[in-house]
Amino acid sequence: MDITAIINIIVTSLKDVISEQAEEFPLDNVNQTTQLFGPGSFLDSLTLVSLIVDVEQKLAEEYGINVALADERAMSLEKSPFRTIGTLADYIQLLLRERRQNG
Amino acid sequence: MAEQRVMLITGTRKGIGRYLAEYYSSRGFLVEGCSRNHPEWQTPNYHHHLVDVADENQVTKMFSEIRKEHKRLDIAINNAGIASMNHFLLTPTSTVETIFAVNFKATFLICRESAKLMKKNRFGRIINITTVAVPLLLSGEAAYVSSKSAIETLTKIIARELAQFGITCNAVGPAPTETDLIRGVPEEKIEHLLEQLPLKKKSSFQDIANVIDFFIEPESQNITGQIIYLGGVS
Repeated sequence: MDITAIINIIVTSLKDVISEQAEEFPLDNVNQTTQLFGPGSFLDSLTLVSLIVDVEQKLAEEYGINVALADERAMSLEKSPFRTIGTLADYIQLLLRERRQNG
Repeated sequence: MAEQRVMLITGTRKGIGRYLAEYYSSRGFLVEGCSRNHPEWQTPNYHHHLVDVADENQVTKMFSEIRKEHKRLDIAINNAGIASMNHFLLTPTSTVETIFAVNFKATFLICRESAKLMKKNRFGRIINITTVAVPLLLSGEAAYVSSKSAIETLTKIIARELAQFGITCNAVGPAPTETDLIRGVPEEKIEHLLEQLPLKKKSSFQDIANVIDFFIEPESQNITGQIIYLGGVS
């Protein structure tokens, strides 16, 4: 799966998750550098949890890929893979590559 | 609720799980059930999965099938469980590992995957099964009762974490019930346990379903994190 497809999944999930909330968020300028985590993010922690679950479900439903994004490695990495849309997409691509290599 | 509600029940091959599967499918629920071996019964509105609930890959696969089939899950009942009776000093750690895998880890896993599926509709009812042996601190079942105690704590914590998604999580704790689980327990031990209950009788499958009926009512949206014991203990 190429990085653009993965980014599209994340962006769609982000829009879905935000649309479930009562508050309005500006989503027009969402791109790879959009922060998902930390002080610069407009998401609260619960919305980030929902986003991760939603991305996992879309990967499973639309691509038949069952992958746990919030695994122990992701949690223990010095730099969180959930920092931005771009870093999350890179992390998903890494997980998918490893799965292919491990058969 | 206009649509048929989708319910998952674990450990449906026999005992309480079988009763609940037949009871709720006869009431019009679409019931997805599972056990490690094929059940020797079938009923309309019921679909069976061959799953070891302590195996994450198998559980994930079952949820992906449920998602494909129904695109939703309304109710999950964590019924599958095992017990072991032994003096604490004679209990091998392998028994502890097996009991915690089937009782606690499996419940944790099913709760987590269920909540992911329920979240989208902002509605869900998770029911866990505990036992009166927890408040009675039953001697001779340290591993089993501790695993159920862990399930009670899990129930209360995830009730808090899932509240914002419209998902409730509660548990029912029956008194001894006529199932394989107590078949190996000496009758005098059961009698001794019943003696400690204000209502000194075994629980029936109907008693358990009655509490679950209450938890799953749409009107029970404000009931979460609760443990209801049968037999009068608290």
